[in-house]
Amino acid sequence: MIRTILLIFLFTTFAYAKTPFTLTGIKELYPVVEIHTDYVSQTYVAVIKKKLTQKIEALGINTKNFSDRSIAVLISGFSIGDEPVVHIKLLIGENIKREDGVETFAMTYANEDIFEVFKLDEDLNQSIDNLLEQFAEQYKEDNE
Amino acid sequence: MKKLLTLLFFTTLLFGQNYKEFAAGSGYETDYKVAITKAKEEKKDLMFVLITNYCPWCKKFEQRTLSNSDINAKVHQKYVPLIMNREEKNFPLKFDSSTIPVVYFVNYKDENIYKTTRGFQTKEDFAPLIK
Repeated sequence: MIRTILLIFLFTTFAYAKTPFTLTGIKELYPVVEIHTDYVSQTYVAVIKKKLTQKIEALGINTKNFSDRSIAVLISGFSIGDEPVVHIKLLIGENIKREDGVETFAMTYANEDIFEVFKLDEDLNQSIDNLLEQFAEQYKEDNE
Repeated sequence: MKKLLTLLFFTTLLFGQNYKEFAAGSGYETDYKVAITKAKEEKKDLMFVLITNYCPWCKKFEQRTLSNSDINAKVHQKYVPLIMNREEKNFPLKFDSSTIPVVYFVNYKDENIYKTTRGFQTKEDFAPLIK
């Protein structure tokens, strides 16, 4: 029962499609994929990086210039009871200057998904696809 | 109006400083062959800083530690400093590292690494390493 409540809470927490961040004017991004859980094999790094790169290049975003502005898929995992749960974050990180001139690293886009693993490959692909699609939708909307 | 202000805020404040701008400002080499040739000529060891373009700790290490004038003076006094982006993969493979930032101290005679430091370090932590 507690497990069910926890899962419902997590799913509803991360169910929003849009984010409060602004994607206007982003022309370059550097794709990064990191997996920090044994639930997901490191072989997925290359697969997800390719998918991420294709998706953002299709939006007209350049990925080739080693931009300081990175778009990262970060995958972690935990368990609720005996059930493995995977947490995926899609983030943009970059250095910005505050109004007072101080430079700092900041997250300028963040979205995430969390799912209980039933069929890892299927669940993972679906989750990544959803996050990338939401990013693409917002990018198009913010750059109309 | 809100969207316009948000856009103005971000476009005004974003900056694209990369490690090559840091290198130019602090007198670091950005090419391994150039750096090791210079090191052999000057009979100084190489201080090789390996970073990535997307690593916030690397940026902080550049800005808070390596850019410090005392640190930079000591570095140049004793070493030929080199900074490179791991993602560009244009350095000898033995320097590749999963931990970033990493600083290698390299003997100019045989190009062997004799000291390695990993991760961000404050100027107080880093100063004793370059004495």
